[in-house]
This record gives sequence, C-alpha cells and structure tokens, in this order.
Amino acid sequence: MGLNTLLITQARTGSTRLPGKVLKIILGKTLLQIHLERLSKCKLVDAILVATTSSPDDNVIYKNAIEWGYYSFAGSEDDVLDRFYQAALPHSPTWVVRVTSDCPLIDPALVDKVVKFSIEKNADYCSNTLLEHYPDGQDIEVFKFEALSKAWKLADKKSEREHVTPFIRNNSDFKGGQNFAAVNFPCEKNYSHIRMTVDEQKDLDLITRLTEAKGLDKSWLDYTNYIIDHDLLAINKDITRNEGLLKSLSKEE
Amino acid sequence: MPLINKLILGTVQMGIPYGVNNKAGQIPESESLNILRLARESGIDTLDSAEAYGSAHQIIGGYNRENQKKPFNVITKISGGINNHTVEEKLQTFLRELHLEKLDGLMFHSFGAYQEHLHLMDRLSLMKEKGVFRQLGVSVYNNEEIATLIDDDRVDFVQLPFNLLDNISQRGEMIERAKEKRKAIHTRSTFLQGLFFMETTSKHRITEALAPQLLRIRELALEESVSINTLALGYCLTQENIDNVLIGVDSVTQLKKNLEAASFVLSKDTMNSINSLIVKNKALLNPSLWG
Repeated sequence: MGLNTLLITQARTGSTRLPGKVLKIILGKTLLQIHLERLSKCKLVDAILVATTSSPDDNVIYKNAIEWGYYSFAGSEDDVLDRFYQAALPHSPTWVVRVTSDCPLIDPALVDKVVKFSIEKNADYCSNTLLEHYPDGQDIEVFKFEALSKAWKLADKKSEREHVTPFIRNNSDFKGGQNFAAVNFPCEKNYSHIRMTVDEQKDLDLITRLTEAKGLDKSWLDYTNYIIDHDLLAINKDITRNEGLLKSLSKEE
Repeated sequence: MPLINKLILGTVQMGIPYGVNNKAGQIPESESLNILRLARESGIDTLDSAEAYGSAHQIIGGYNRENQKKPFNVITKISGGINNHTVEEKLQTFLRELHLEKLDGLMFHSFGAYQEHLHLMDRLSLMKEKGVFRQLGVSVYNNEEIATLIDDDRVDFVQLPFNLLDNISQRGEMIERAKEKRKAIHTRSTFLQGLFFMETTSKHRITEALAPQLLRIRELALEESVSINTLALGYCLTQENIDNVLIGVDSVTQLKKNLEAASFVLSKDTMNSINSLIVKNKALLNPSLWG
C-alpha cells in the first residue's frame, strides 16, 4: 500500500550565488531544519522526503534528514526529474507535493490548502505558481505520481530534466497542451514583488530580520505584512525569480 | 550488571548508505548479520532502528526469524503517515517486519514530532497497555526539551546527545531531574560524529574552535593509557544515571573494538577531569549545525 501524499523537498549545498545556503543558521537552526519543521505541521501530508544529490558535499543533508526522522534520498545532481522520480518510486504515493528547501518560511497551512484543492479538482498538476501571485518563497506544486512518471518517461529537453515540472507545465492545458490537466491555486492579491526565498546574501538578511522580529512559526501572510509594514522590501528587491530555470532555458536558445 | 548490557546497537548503517561517502556507506547484508550475531553473543540485546532507515527492519527481521529463541529487542521510530486510525496498523507492520511479538520501544524522532502527535498519546498509551510495545520515548536535542518531557507521565525514556564534551557539565543536572521522575536515560552521539578522532591541526572550523578541549581529551587518554575510543565510550557507560548508550558500527572489527572498550571502567579522577571540560558555545556540539 502506498502513501496518499508524499512531500518531496529538494535540497543541496551547491549554489552559485550563496554556497551552502540551506545550511546557513538563523536563530540557532539551519534553514533546512526551519523549512522541515514548518512542513512537519502539514495535516494533509503523509510523509516528508528530502531529495538531495549523491555529491559528497550533500552527505550532510542526507544524514541530517535521516537523523531528524525524514525519508532521505541522494540522487542525480543534474537530472532532477530523475532524482524526484527515483525518490518517490519506492513509496508509491498517489500525490506528490514539491517544494524547495531554499524556501525556509514555506507555510504548512498553505501547503494543506493547495493539496486539498488539487484533490478536489482531481488535477494532474496544481500549483500556486502557474500565476506567480504569492510571494517568492511560498512556491508549492502538487501533482499526481502518474504525471511525474509520464514526465520521467517522455521529457528529453535538458531544461525539462534539470527541473522537475517544466515538462508537465509546458504540456498542460494551462499552456494549451493536452497531456495534463493543470489548475492554478489563486491568490487574492498579487504579492509577487515580495521575496522570502533565499538565493543571495540579501535574501538571508531579510529572512534574519523577519524571523528575529516574528519568530519561526507565523503564516505566509503575517510575514508578508511585516515586510510591507516595516518597509523591508528594499533589502532584496532586485533579484530575479527562478534564475536557475531561466538559465537552463537560455542555454537551449 | 556488566556495562556491555547498556549498549544499544544502531542499525542505520545496515539499512541505507550512511558512511562517510554515500556510495560506500551501506554495510553488505552478510556483514550486517555477522555484526548482529557477534553483538547478541556478547551481551547486546537491543537494537535502535527506524522506518526511515531503508531496509534495516528487514535485516533485523531476517536475523530474528533465524534466531527465534534469542531475538533482538528493538526500539524503532515512525516517519510519517500516522493518525488515530492508522497507527495500530503501522505498528503491526513493524512487528511483522521485525519478526517480533512486541516492540521494546517506540520513539519519536524529535521533540517536534512528539509535540505534533500529542493527539495520539492516549491511543499510544492504550497500545502500550495491550503489549504492542514496552516503552515510549522521545529523542531530544536540548535541556529545555527534556524539562518539558519529564512532566509527561506517558513518556518512559528520553534519548539525548551525551559525550566527552556534551558532558555532565552540560547535562548532569537535567539527567538527575529526569531520573527523579523515573525516566530512563538513553544517550547517543557518543563519539560526536568522529570529532574526537580528528587531528586538531586539521582546517575544520569545529576542530579549530574546540582545539583546547580536544587536546585535553588526548592527554587524558594518554594518562589512562587507553584509546580515545575507549575513553569516549567508557565515559558514557560509567555514568550511573545513564541506562543505555547507543553506538553505531560499520564493521565487525569496529564492533569488536567497542566491545573491548566497553569493559573499561574510568577512574574517578579521569571522570572528574572530563566533567570539568566546558564548551560555552553549545552550537559547536550540534553536528547538524556544523555545515
């Protein structure tokens, strides 16, 4: 019997802009631990798995995850689609939830909402990022394991292997395709100018300010409002969202 | 009671690649069985495992099936997917995998996991009464967590980090308070992830920061004419308030080394010298923050 919902978070120490970012420490905890402890509060997630790489540098992530009681998997560095598929396969989940560990303040209640919405809509793919209206750092994708398997079999472009979901997204009815039924999880307002992800030192500065003021267990909206009310936007406003994906796309052009 | 009986053997290395290099890390199954055989013959009767440790349950189960007269007791941990409806089924699955009629212990991986499952505690107590497992425990990192746990009567044991540097000066008072509340004390991190064996001249941020203490540990080992391995294990096993000490090994050879070390009783003077090693920055003692 497989799991109903398996959450997989991808994590690695390598990062061109901020090496070792997920192991940076705020309030006595690594960003990875903060991320995982917040996700542990999800009610509609049956198990959490950390998918890292088999590079020796990432062994520390692999081991910590196990010690903290999460499933852990070390797989391909470059073919992240394969890493995800191989990580999920032994658990035979019905639904896979994908987040990334450079989002320490991901909101467990928001994850639950997107999961619930996906199941209600019976969508192949559902995300609050089809329209990028949530703050960067609250990115959640939920898809059927069947959809992941299909992508794993069919995707052959580099950009569709280096990242997990472009193949599903590009071939979904949301983008005019036919292979997958996709729905956006909407946001009431557009908060896309807010960043609470960690790609650069400036992002880490913002997260440090934010968590020193508000602690580690607030909702995405509480953090967002604090950023707006205290004018913290200027700290990290000029950073491009999803630079990694944009880079692998530009190489293909 | 011989000190060897206090040892609990970890099984994470048997179930998944867990060595220094991911690739080489997993112990071959035949070696795992040799380790288990020697451990059982030498007086170790309890194993530490977890759902997240890959095939560890299956390997233990294989041993127990072949050795039904003298199976291992097992303490294990749940990784996810439990609620009031599924927890019983989950534990029954564990019993089948481990080839046991009763688990020795069920443990939460962390204080956070304990807090998130408070709504399950009544159900778990009921299952304990029914004999599905003997004792309920929680793995903790810091003294604040222990302070909270000792007031919960449903918790039978706590497992905390304890070693030459994370020692009585850091933990002694809290361990005594827990003992007063009749909690059993299990310790892990006996060798602080191998830190005691590292050259203090190596360019590792942590060995540099802890160089004075690490050098003192070397001196003490020389004075006692024992290896650092023996000093580290002896320090934990000699504590009267510590009921069980968890160790992990990669090979039969390593297990033998630890079994020899386990019969060594440290002198009072050496114990006192270790107790006076103080590390002010506690973050240095938490390997998950070493990065």
